[in-house]
Amino acid sequence: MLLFTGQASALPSYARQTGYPCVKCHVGGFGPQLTPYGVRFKLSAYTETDHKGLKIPVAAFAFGGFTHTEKDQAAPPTPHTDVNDNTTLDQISGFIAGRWFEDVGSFLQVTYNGNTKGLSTDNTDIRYAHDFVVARTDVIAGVSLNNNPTVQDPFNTLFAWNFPYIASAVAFGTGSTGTQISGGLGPAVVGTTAYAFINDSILAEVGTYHAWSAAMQVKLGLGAGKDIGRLDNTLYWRLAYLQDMNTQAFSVGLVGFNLDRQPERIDSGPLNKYHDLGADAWYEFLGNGKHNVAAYASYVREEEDLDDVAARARAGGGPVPSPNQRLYDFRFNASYYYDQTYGLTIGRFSKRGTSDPVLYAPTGKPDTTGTIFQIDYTPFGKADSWGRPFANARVGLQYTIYDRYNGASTNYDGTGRNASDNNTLFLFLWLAV
Amino acid sequence: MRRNALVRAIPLAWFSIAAGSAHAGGDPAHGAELFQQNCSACHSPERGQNLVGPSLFSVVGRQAASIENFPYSDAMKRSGIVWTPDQLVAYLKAPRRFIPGAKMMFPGLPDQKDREDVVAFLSKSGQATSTTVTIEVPPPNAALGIAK
Repeated sequence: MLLFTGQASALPSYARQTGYPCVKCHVGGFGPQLTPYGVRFKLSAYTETDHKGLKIPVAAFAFGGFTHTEKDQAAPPTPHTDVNDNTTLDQISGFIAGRWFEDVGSFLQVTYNGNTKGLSTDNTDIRYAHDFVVARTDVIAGVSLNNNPTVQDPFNTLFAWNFPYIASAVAFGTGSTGTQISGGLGPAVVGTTAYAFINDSILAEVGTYHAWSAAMQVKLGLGAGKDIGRLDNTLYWRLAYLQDMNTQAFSVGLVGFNLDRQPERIDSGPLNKYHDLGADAWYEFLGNGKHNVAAYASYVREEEDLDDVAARARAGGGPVPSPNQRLYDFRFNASYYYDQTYGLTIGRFSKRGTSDPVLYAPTGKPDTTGTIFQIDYTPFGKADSWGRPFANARVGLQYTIYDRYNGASTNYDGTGRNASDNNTLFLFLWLAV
Repeated sequence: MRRNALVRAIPLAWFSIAAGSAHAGGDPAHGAELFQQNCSACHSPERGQNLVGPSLFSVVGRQAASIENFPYSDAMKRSGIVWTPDQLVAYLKAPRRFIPGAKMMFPGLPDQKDREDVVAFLSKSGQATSTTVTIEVPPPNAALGIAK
């Protein structure tokens, strides 16, 4: 299954570097919801500083929680958990996050996964950015070396950083099928993108990605036998417009991601070709900080030519799926924070696609849809918070309701399990220093 | 505790409500609130206290990029600007459009009156006295809660 992927937070090392409270860059005082200021901080390569004293760009966070599903799972989700009511330490992450040099900075994460008991690379974005003036217009131009398409994006509409920002690692995620851009490639890839942020409003970016070798993926802690295959002809592009009106801001954008994938790395072998095209919109009301509202939406359509999948099915002598498929991924969420402390978020996710009885057996559809409710409490992160900038915490309660799962609302797996049986309650604690 | 701070007494050795003249038409008290909300995360009005941005003590009438050892952008160094009240009002409308290449990541105050009020406040800040005065400002968390 594909787990929800947007799991990262504000990093105290950035707060220590700048002298800012977390709320300067993050809605809700914890992250990862970036304010317009946070957008610029990221696009400026995480380098802004108050120049006071020695800055060590190191941070850490940990989170875990209690997960209860409506009905027991068919099998324990990991070797170290039970079929229900699991209390887990999901992640302990260390970061090199902040300014390295005048124009170079990073968000570099290494994670210990408490469920798999493994250490691996995680979201990485090392970037160079410099401010230029072109025809009396301000242009921030930069290059990002990263390991997950959309991890470098500054808006919380795309998949590395979208809601839910934290989710149970031992529950049901968003089903078995997903678009290429929405996760599943990172951090097994490495890519370079170049971008320009023009007049603090227009973001244009283009780049390409390659898969690490299978051996390198193992060295990076991503597990043996999980090779994502060879990627060719990858093209990532992004175009967005940001309008910052000081107390509120909005953005609209487009994103594209094309790639050819040869899962077994066979030279001249048949390819699975993917063409992702998406649109997104982003709105934040910041006011005077007392009442914050944020709403984010994205829609991606993926065209698939699954020649390799069809060829392997044919070679196996079994039924052959149609190579031409489509997936549609829609996400929307809206959050309200009072006093940058008490948060309520409602999110909707909808993944749908073309029917295929072979590819999506037994239901014949890839659809997974649902709604997420979250309330959370973030006691720190403000200018006058105790222990700033070292004390950072969020506690929350999240409930996910599934309308459909892997193509059906009832008996989606052929054994009588219903989508609502996967409804998940997740009580979490998230700490950062 | 933060609620009690809704009206905060701030000893401001550099600030005197009574002294000097504000930018024409500007309300320095409202300017102080706007400063807290929009500027204080990056700038201090106190002498010698540089944050991410330089101290704005006595900024009115000052040559741009003139605080010694502060890492100004090349664009600011080259600007040749003297921060008259009119220049500040114009700059605060959209700083990075007024001086392309400037580091200050602030979209600006769209309202002319707001800008005049802030400049009126900054004008006052240049007229240091040893007086301790009390003014009403929003609590720091609310002020810094705004992401500017």
